[in-house]
Amino acid sequence: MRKQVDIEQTMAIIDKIKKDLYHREDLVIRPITVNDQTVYFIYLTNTVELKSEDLQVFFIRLLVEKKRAKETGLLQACLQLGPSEKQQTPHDYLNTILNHQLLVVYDEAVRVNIGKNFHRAIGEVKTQEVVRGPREAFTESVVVNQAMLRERLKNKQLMFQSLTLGTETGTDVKVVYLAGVCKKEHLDDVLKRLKEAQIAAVLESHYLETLLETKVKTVFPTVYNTERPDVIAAGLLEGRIAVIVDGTPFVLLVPCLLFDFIQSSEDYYQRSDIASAIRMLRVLSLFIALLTPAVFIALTLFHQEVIPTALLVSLAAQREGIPFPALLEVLLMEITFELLREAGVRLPSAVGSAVSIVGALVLGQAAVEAGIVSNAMVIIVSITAISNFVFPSYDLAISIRLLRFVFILLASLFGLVGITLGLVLLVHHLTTLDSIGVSYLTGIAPYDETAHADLWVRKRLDKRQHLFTIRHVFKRDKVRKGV
Amino acid sequence: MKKVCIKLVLLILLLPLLTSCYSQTELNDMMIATAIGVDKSTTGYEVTLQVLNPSEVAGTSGKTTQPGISCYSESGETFFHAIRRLTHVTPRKIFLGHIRFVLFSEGVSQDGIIEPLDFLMRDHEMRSDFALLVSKDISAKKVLEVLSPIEQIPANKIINGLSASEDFYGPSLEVELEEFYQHYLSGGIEPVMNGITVLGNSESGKEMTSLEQTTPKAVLKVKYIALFKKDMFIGWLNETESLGFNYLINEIDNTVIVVMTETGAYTFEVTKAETKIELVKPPASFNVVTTLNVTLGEAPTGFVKGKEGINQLTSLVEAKVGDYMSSCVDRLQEEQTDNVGFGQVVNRKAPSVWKVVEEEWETLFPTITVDYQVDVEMTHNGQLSDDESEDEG
Repeated sequence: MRKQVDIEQTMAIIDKIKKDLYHREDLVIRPITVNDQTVYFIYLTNTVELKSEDLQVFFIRLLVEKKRAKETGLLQACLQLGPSEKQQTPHDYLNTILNHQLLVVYDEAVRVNIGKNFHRAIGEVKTQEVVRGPREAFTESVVVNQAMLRERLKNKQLMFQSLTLGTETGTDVKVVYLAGVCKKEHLDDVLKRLKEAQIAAVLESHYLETLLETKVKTVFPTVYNTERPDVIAAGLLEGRIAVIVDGTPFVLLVPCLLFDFIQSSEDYYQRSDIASAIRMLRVLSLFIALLTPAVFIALTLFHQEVIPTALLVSLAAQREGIPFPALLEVLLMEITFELLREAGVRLPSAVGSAVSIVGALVLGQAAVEAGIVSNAMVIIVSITAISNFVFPSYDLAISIRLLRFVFILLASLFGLVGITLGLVLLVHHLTTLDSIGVSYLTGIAPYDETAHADLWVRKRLDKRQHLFTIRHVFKRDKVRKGV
Repeated sequence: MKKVCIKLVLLILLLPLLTSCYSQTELNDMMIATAIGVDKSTTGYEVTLQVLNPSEVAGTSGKTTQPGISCYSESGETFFHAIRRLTHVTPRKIFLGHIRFVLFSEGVSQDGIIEPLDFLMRDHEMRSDFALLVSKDISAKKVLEVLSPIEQIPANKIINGLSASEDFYGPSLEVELEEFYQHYLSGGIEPVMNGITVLGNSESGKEMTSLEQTTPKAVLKVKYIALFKKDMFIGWLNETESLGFNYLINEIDNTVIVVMTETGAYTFEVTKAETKIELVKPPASFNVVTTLNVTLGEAPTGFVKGKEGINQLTSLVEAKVGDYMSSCVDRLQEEQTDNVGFGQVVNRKAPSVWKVVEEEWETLFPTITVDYQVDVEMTHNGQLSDDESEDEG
């Protein structure tokens, strides 16, 4: 009597799966019959490895449980194979199979998590290198990344909230936070934004970054991303929220402030005086990268009386015989450099050196010798480019690069007045930005004295009263609409 | 978005309110002038510009044997007119933002220079930190045409030489436009300028061959102070009077003083000099208090005998400095022009008296009495050991 029911149920499940995945030629449905009991093992080719010893143990256990006539017989048997759980709905069956796990179907269906992991091993950090500090980087596997964070924060308050996002990709996403430290409104905000979004595919964490970004149009990044586990761990301790996305080593961190982008994790692994000096240097480099070509244009076109006479004579001598106006000269060199940089990033490393030779020799030296650009311009573009590489974060560097061109145009139209105007607008713009409700310039605006221990400078770790925590929460939307 | 647009438009509308240089000029579209010379011409003014030839001064390639500067002259009814008429002869737009000095010939300055000065004050392109000079016994044009060795820009040579002479010897004074104008406008003080001249043959000084020998055929020489009454040149001070003038207006930084004794000439280096003009009895009695720190720089005997010897020498220095200043004041009284600013002292110390005498200060000035009190302190005698002086003493 019972036997009948078993087979009917089993066949119903199998039929359902076959119907859903009829087109998949990599679907494996492997019936194994022992003592008249047929158990179906369903998985995708090459994702699950079934060893005969394991199967023996499985069937012995299944028969034993059968005799005891317990409800959970199959689950108990499956636990011999690996971590298992019951699956109730057809959707779950599909999920199990598509997630590279094993579905065991008998009188019911059980998911066994023994799927093989196809990700690479933990590698070295590629984007935010440090001289001193941990070298390992996140990988593409959300499981491995989770483990790396757990290793760093052996804290019972470390919480992982799992989401599956992307109607087409079904990507695993984990929202990580330290309960108690993290502000509840931040967490709710992040979860709400992630859950409400109808997003078809999540192939990289940037797909979610757009969901977390502020609604204002801006070139500035308002979500931090890194492949360094130590940075994420530090962020969690400060009460921030990390979002790990399966398939990318770049983990997101919110809320993030402007200053996060000019801070490096290495600042905390060095003596504080050295780290502070280097931070100041980065702030300086921010302004150099943003303004140097613009100021040069403004001074040479509008405010020649400001340049010391000897320098002016030297600049004038260099410009003798240059056929282009200064603006065109700057744009020519800047765009050439951007082309070189972009080519350098995309090219396979074997060809990369060729680009640098062409860039340095042909464009740098030959352009000057041919009298197309002046020496001073090459210096200006070089110092700008070098300053741009100082930022530990690629995201801010690229925003600054874009803004540089805006400032060049302003300078060529209005001189120093234009630059000042641009800076006023820039500051105005920065103050309107927020990262999930925290003002982008927190520490400066709104002013926070305690934050200053870790903003421009880095105080000694033992002198800091407490870790920097995000204290102010603003409902920026409310502020904006209220005006 | 609309709001942002409005804000942007508002900000751009604010731009015209800002006073600033508006029009843009490429560096290779302009000619950098380093000095302006002003002479009299039949129609009005003849203006000479000394402009730079950048690639000769600073270029790395394409250097020829051309001089680092060129000069262009043109005349006009007014100074400004002449400057604009210069565009007839200049190859590019003239940029006056970097001029080091404006040079007036004696002829022009005797007639008054307020018209050119007015243009120089008004023009927006100028930095007002350039010096004003008078050329002595030669036209301004000829001075500007002279080439100088080492320093390729003769204007720089003049200004550097002037400040060196002012800082280390004393009878010269770099007067900038604003200072001159202030003294011109305010009562109780008359302006001065420094003089400059050419030694040698100024005609051959124009040629590059002049520089191809160890002694150039013409040398630019910084002269002494030129006295002005209002905007009109009235005469030259000589070297001692100029030194006295600079002592009086407290502009001496470092100089030397030679005093004669029976044993020979002693030379002192003044390392610090401070002068205060005190009003003893308004409006016509003054006391000039000068304190000097000196060191012995050169002595004929090789050493100085004891404390008394030093005191004897310092009193000679005191007398000499007093002479410098009195000779200057005597000269000014003779010319009836108060370039030191005794009138301003009256104005500052006794404003009520000044109101009464202000109108007739010009006639009152020649009658004022000035007493000189000079305190000299010798800080070092420059001797390596004091053994010998002890023995002799």
